[in-house]
Amino acid sequence: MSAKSENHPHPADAELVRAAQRGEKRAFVEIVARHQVMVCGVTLGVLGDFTAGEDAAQEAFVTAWRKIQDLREPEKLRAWLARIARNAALGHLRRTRGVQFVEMDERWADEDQLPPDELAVSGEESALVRDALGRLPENYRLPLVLFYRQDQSVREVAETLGLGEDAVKQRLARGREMLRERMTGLIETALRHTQPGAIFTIAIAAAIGALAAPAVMAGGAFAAAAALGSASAATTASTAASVSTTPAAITTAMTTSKASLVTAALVAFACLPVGYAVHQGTHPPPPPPEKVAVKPLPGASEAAAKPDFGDSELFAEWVRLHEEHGQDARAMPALFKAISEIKDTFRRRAFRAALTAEWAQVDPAGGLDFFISRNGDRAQCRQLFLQWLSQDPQAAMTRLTSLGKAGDDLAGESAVLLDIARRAPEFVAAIASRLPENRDHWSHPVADAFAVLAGSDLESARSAAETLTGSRRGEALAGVAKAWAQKDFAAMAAWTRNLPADIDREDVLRSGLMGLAATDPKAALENASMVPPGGRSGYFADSTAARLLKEAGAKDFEGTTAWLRDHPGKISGEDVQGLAGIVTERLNADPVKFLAGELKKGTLEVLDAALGSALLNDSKPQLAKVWEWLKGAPDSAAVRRLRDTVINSATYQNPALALAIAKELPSTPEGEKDLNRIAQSLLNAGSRMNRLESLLSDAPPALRSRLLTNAFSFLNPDNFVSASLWLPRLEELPAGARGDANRQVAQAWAAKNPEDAAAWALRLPAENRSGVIGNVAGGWLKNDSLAASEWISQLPAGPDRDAGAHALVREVAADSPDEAWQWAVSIGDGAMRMQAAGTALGSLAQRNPQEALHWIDSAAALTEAEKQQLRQSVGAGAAGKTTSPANQ
Amino acid sequence: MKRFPLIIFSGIAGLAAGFGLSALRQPGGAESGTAGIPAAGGQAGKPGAPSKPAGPAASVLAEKLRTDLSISRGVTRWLQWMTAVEKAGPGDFPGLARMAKEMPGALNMLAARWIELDPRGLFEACRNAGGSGPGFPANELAQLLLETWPKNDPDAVLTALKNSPGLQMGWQFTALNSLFQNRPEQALITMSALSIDGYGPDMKGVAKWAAADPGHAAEVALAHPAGFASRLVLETIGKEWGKSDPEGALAFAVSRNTAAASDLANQVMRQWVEKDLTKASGWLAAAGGPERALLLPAFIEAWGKKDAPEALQWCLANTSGSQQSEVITSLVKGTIAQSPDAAAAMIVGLEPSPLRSKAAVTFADTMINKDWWPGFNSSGRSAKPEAIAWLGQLDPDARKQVIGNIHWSWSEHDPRGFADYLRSPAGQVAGPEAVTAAARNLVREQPVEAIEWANQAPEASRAQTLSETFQAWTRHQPDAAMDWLQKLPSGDPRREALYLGAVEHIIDPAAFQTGPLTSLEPINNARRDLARLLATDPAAARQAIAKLSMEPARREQTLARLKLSPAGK
Repeated sequence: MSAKSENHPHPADAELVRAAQRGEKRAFVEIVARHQVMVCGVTLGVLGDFTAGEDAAQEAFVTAWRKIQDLREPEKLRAWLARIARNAALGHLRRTRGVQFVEMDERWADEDQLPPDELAVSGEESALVRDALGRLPENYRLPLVLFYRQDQSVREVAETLGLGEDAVKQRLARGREMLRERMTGLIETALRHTQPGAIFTIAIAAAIGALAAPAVMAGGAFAAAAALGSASAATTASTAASVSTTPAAITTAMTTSKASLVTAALVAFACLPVGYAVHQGTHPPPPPPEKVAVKPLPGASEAAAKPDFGDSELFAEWVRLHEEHGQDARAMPALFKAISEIKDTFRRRAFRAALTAEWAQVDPAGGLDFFISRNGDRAQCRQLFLQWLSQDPQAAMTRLTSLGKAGDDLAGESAVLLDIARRAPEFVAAIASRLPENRDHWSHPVADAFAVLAGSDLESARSAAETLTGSRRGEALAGVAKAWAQKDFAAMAAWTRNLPADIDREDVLRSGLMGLAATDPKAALENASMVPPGGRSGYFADSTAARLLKEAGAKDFEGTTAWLRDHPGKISGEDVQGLAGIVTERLNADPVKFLAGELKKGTLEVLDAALGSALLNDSKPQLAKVWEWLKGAPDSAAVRRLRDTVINSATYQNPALALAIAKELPSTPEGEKDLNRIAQSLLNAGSRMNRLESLLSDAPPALRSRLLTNAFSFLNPDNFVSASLWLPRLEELPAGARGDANRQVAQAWAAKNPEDAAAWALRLPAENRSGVIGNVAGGWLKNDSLAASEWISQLPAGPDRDAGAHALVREVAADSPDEAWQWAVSIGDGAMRMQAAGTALGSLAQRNPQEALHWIDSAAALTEAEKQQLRQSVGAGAAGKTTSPANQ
Repeated sequence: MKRFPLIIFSGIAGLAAGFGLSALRQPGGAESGTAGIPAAGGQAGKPGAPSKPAGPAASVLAEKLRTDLSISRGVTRWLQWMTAVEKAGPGDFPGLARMAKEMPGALNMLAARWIELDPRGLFEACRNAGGSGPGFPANELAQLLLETWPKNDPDAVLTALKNSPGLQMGWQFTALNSLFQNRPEQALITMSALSIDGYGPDMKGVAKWAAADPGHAAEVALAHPAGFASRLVLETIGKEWGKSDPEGALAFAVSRNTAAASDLANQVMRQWVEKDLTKASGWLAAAGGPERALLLPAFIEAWGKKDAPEALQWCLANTSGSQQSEVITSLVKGTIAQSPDAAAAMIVGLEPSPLRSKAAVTFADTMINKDWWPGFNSSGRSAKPEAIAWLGQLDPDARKQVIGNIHWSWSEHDPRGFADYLRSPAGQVAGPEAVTAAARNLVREQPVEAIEWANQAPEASRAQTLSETFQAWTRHQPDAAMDWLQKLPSGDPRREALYLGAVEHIIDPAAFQTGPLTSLEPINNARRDLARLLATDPAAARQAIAKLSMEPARREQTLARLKLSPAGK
């Protein structure tokens, strides 16, 4: 790079500085293009993280743009930029870590601190590089980074760092030696690989408002991105050169000492794929693709390092949008509006995401205000805020905390609190204290954030949680407990006992147990009973034990199930549903392998409840495979229970499978039992009567009669399509089932067509009729009580009329006890009369026993013995023990 | 030559690095790729035939994007995403989706493109998520797909739904909800065929459908029952039909004489009253007895929304018995819709009677959903002060009835608050079932206190309350509960009841069955006998358990769970 820096076409740095000082953004973009590699090198050297390094580098350039007037000696641009870069990186460290000095090893090794998108793009190389570099002291790391990212110019490294060339050489040698054991070649590759390129330049251009300015596009770095390959402009050439490091170029530029090192590096890189292939050969992988795009090797990295926007229609449209609306802060709302009007979903979503990112660079404060004012754009608001947070946590948080008041969740802070905890921990308490009460039972962002704080500084986090104001204090304490428990459970538990009385100590301790489960699942399970069962009614697997199992299972599923097997009764079967999620995943991945494995380990039985839940819900597509596996599984209690589970789930979720199972069942008592269960469950207590006809058409004969028996028991006016359909089916039933079926038909039919139902009932043989008459009356009463009571009153005295009257009493007793009483005492059959009288008096006896006694005394139809019996029942009813006199 | 060792060393380091890199990539195998990957870029296809389910194959495009992203930031990263997705073909999407998993913006963008190019392929990739590689965000993508695809190609979605009966319920609901917007008829028929009866989709599309041809919509809805959705559909049809032709609608609904048709008729009547009270009342007055009986409650409910006091006066003057009770219940519902406070006051103003108790129960049931008392969907966790005050204004019978009706919700969602209320003078009227519910639910927060609370229950129900409370504890902390029970002094009068709770939870009732099951009484007696033995004579209890009908392993487990040491120890 230095060679190119020296050889680059004019104008020289000083001229560019002077032009920039006159306000020419294009000139400054040129400066960026020339020095970005060096600046990124400095920031990477300090921060040790590619993304953070580029964040700081970008910040450095923006600072440089703002302060370009202060540069008195334009010839010293390079050193000036380096100083700004180093300060920016140190500032980044202070903001993100909240401390002046940072233990580098700890920071570099903590991959969990990376945001998810960074994790997503961090490959193995980055991890290795971070790990290896993180172990180097800064005075060795910085020269090494600068050396490789600047194409090995010792002189320039020396100039940048204010060191002598010899000192740089010594440090490089020592640094390399220290790195050697950590795959030197790989690191060198990655360092080159992560050099900033034209895209970095674009970002700076955007940040200073130079993006898409026609002048810049014509000859600047932006053109390099937009028209890849047509690098005619000077800046383009410069930029392309800055990232093109061919072996030949290296060879011509390198010094003797460097030659050996680079040769060594090249050999290492050349051997890398060989080593890869050797390993692949010893562990046969799936056949490789014809063209596998692993990280490009030296010489091939340029293509990957440059954005390939040249043939992108979308990018061209993106550029056009900026040409039309502008690219500075003022243009952002207009761009947003224009993008919102795009009909095509993909383009709209893509542009909107990119615009949000651009806004975060150009004018994050304005962008945040814009999105906050538009409540419907929470996702964009979060995206913008998160990006700003990663760029400049201090500024982002200062702005956020200045907005709103207690109870506000303006930018969805609760959703990004975890990111705030990672990037700007000192702001977490202020944000948490103003959040509204948490009404989401499953999400605890304050607890999660405080757990992160406590993970790095327990004392501060605990103090902040204890003094937190607002409704989230308990949640914050729970977060501290969770993290603390992972380090010292006993101390955490002792602390919870001394928390103020207004805190739900049990819940804080419960959270500690969850933390313990994530590190030592067995210990957590052993201690599950330290707190009450907990849980909120109606919420799935919400008890303490269920939640502990979920955490423990995620950490060590095999260990957790073995613990359950070895500790029967410690945790109830119901709470094992906490494992349902993990069991679902495993069942869906490979049901046979999973079940066979659990059976072999003797843990299948303890998973019963979790399997039941999984197979009834998201593992239902596996039911058929599980049933097939069960056919060959050795008999055991666990296998039998699973078999029952599959049958139950199939009847509910997969009726076709249930019918297939029914056809396979043997004619044994067990088979009969299964058939009964299938018949009952297929109609799901009558709620699935609409599938009866299709079930009947496919059901084997043994199941058909059972289905019909059940179907009759679920008959109601809605599913009683017609008498002509249901009456013949009575003949298909076993004799013992016909009585109940008759009564069901009577009730359903009478509600639809009472006259016909009544006529049918009266034609039945006398011995079957009384119950049926009662049901006709019951069905009729529901729709037309007047007509029903007229019909009953016209029946000749005897069992039919008594049954009708009794039905009427049952129907009206609650609302019209006097009406019910009159009907009750009109019943001829003594036992039935007493029973009906008890029903009629029921509620009155409790509310107004004197009135009830008066009715009894006035009833001419009752004998004195009957009256006495009823008086006693009224006394018992008034005392809260209502019993029917007929049952006494 | 002196540089030679360094070069040799570098070669070894390179070999080692390559070896290590391979090992890192090997376990999942997902990223190392397979043969036959569609090339990126050129595969950016047009919508057409569905692709095969996308497997976990590596994608050159995805790998390149991964590399590009690793060295870019800010807007550039999004431009990288945008152009990569623009160029992506079906074979690239799974790999890109895995990369976008934690980035909602990228996933949304990717889903939009995938849906545009190959919705069926995306559907299959989600269905066979296991085959799409670890980390494939199937659920997120399926939700995005099934919100959009039905709008673009409802027939394809209907076919996919019919052919995938095992699809996750959440996905079915999302798809149906979208289908209901533009194909409500087919959506309802599909829902009925799939026996989905517990989901209520958005009714905007149904309103349009019903407005266009309410008779046809009603025929379809009645012929294809789909539980909760049917109710909503019929209500919506009723609203639309009630606006355009209430008399025709009522004639249709009354002629069908089913509960579902009654729902339709009631909604038509409510709508008619809202639009023209006079004409609706005129029609009702001229209607036959059954029709009037059927529709009067809906009429009163709607009238209550307009003028509750007048409706109340009419009900009290013109109805009696069970009919009066029914219409007052409807009036309460209508009045609540207009003003809960007015409804509360109306009930307080009624004379103490079964009518008032029933109205109070209706009011309380409805107000659980309006946060007066805590419920499953309520935002608060305790009863509102105005709810407590209103209860205090009721006569004891009405209050008892109300508590008896809402205790299940109140005690489940605020056991401590409910227990406190039962301790108050106004709460003393509560029946034993409320006391038991309080104790049973208090177990979740403080089991020992719950047992103490259960022991305060009226003598007649104390044993049952103790038993159920202990059973609730045993359900979640079997070991801890039995340890606590064992430590009770042998003379503690609660032991037998508590052991009964343990027996009921731990031992399958079938173990007590000695012959054909004609009544539960013998089993219950046997359980009580065993509980008595456990409380007084563990050795005899062990012998009794030895005679129960259960497998040896289960017997051993039972003895262990009841903390009965093996015989002779």
